[in-house]
Amino acid sequence: MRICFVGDSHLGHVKPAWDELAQAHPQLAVDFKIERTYGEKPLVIRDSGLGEHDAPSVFDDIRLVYGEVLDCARYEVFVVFGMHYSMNTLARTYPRFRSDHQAQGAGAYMLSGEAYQDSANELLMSHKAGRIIRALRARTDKPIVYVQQPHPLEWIAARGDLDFGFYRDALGNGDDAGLAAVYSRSLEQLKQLDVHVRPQPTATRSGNIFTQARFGLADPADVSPESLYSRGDYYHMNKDYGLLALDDLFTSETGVLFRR
Amino acid sequence: MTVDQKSRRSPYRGREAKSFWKQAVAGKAPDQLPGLYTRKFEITPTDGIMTAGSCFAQHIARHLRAAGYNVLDTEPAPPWMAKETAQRYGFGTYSARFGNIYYVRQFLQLVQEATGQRTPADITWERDGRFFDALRPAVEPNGLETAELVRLHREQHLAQVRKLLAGTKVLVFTLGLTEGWVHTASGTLFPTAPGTIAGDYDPAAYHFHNFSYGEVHQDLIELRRLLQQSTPGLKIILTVSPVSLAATAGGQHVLPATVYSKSVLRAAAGALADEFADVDYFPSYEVITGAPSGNSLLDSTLRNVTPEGVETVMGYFFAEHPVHAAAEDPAPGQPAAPSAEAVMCEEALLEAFGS
Repeated sequence: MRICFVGDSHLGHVKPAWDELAQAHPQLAVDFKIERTYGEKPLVIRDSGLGEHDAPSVFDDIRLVYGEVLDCARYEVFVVFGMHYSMNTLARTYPRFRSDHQAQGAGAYMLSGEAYQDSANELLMSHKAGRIIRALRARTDKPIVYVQQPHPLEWIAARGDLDFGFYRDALGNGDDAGLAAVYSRSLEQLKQLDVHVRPQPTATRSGNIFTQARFGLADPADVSPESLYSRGDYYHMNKDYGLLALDDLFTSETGVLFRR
Repeated sequence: MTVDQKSRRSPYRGREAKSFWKQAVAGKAPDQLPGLYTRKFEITPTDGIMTAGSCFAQHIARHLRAAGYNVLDTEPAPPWMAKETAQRYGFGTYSARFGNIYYVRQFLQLVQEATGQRTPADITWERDGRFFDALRPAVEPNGLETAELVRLHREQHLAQVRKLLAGTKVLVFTLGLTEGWVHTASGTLFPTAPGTIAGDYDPAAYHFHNFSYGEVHQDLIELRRLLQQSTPGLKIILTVSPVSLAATAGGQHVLPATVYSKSVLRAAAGALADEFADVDYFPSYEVITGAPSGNSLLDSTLRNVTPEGVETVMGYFFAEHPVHAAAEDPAPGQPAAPSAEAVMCEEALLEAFGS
């Protein structure tokens, strides 16, 4: 069974985990389609099985270094990881837009709960994650899984030297649980496109909207000037996280997709 | 005393061709009526424009934006929200989320409320356990959870209206209707009849009112006065919506009821434009409903204006108020340097994939 993993730098925690698990899944062959900062070729999604009837989707803003054509005909299952929609994406809007279930603040425009949820849903669908999923589903009825991007590392809210005061505000206002619920519901909408959604493994979570520091690539103990912690890498996870995420993928309700 | 034919004087002699039906209208296509509109004042690209009014005003706002005018919007939707979703919640249609303003009195009462001169009564209507702002019931299609939330959302809206008033240099206001429903005890006028979108029609609490020429004219004068208090020197362009009444509550046939309403609005708008140098009248109503167009600029319902009709109307507008350079996409240049975040993303991948 050939599987396509689509993602960006968050595949950095998936790849070493897959390397460790691959032998236990000899029936699976995984191709990685990786967005790169310095990629030169746009991602192209097509289905060779449709012949001339398929006009490929070309993503000029998703650049790859190699393997830029994702041919739906080659794969049995597609797994999209994160792709720029995350809790951080939603939380960044907190200073400007809030729901009427959240604390109100100067400069933030209050939306009704319903409008706020619609707004979050469209935030997902307007990001690369939503656009890739739409392009895949427009061509194939094969299984698609969306694996949530990890929440930010738990120390980010305390980092006054970085521009993340909105986390402090959200926590202080008690709005973290509400944000988590809205984020979760925004992922649920993917089910309308017959997409399986895998949330972040519970064991990795810290509170409602963070990831435990031990799963981060950055080490909070390393405060040397060039360390990932000092530079504020709050979003890349390590192999331990990757192992839990892949274990969830292969053993939860989506596991059956990889055993067919 | 006898006057020969050549020296006979007439008040029509020497007037421009546009003054004569035969030369200006007969045999002309609706988009070929020379001299139909001459602007009274200029609108610069930086003048803040407020648009408000009935449905037809939506077209004007959209075209003004596309033509590079500074159409204000103090309640914008989240930028990532799809246009259709934003419109469903009343975003982006007018300069604030006030929904359709069909009546001059409705607009006047809004400005009075925003400036602290009026407190409307009966502003919360209920339907199936959800609560609606009776003064803009369509901006939340499924209503809100409590009456208190209606009040809070309205407070926020009024603050944005005040901001809008302070930044407006030109108001483009499309007059729509004269038949409306009024809260009897307070005089609050609603944009929809109670019991349609929400609420309940209680004849003891509400009454039907068809605004007269005198009332519309007086309301326009008061509206201008109030707006100019907020923004001295504010200019106004009035238009009349060519969209006919969907229904009348006055007991007459809907066709004469429509002609009556539109005639009242047209006459009052014209009077204002005659009385004040800072009020202009733009004849969109005449372009769509005048004899040269027949029904050619209306769809099969004979109510809705076709896209061609809107284009024809705006053609006259932009002939006098020129199209400015529309906002361009940023000039292509060197790719931006990768952000620190992007560099860290690349590092994370290099670590995992080794290339």
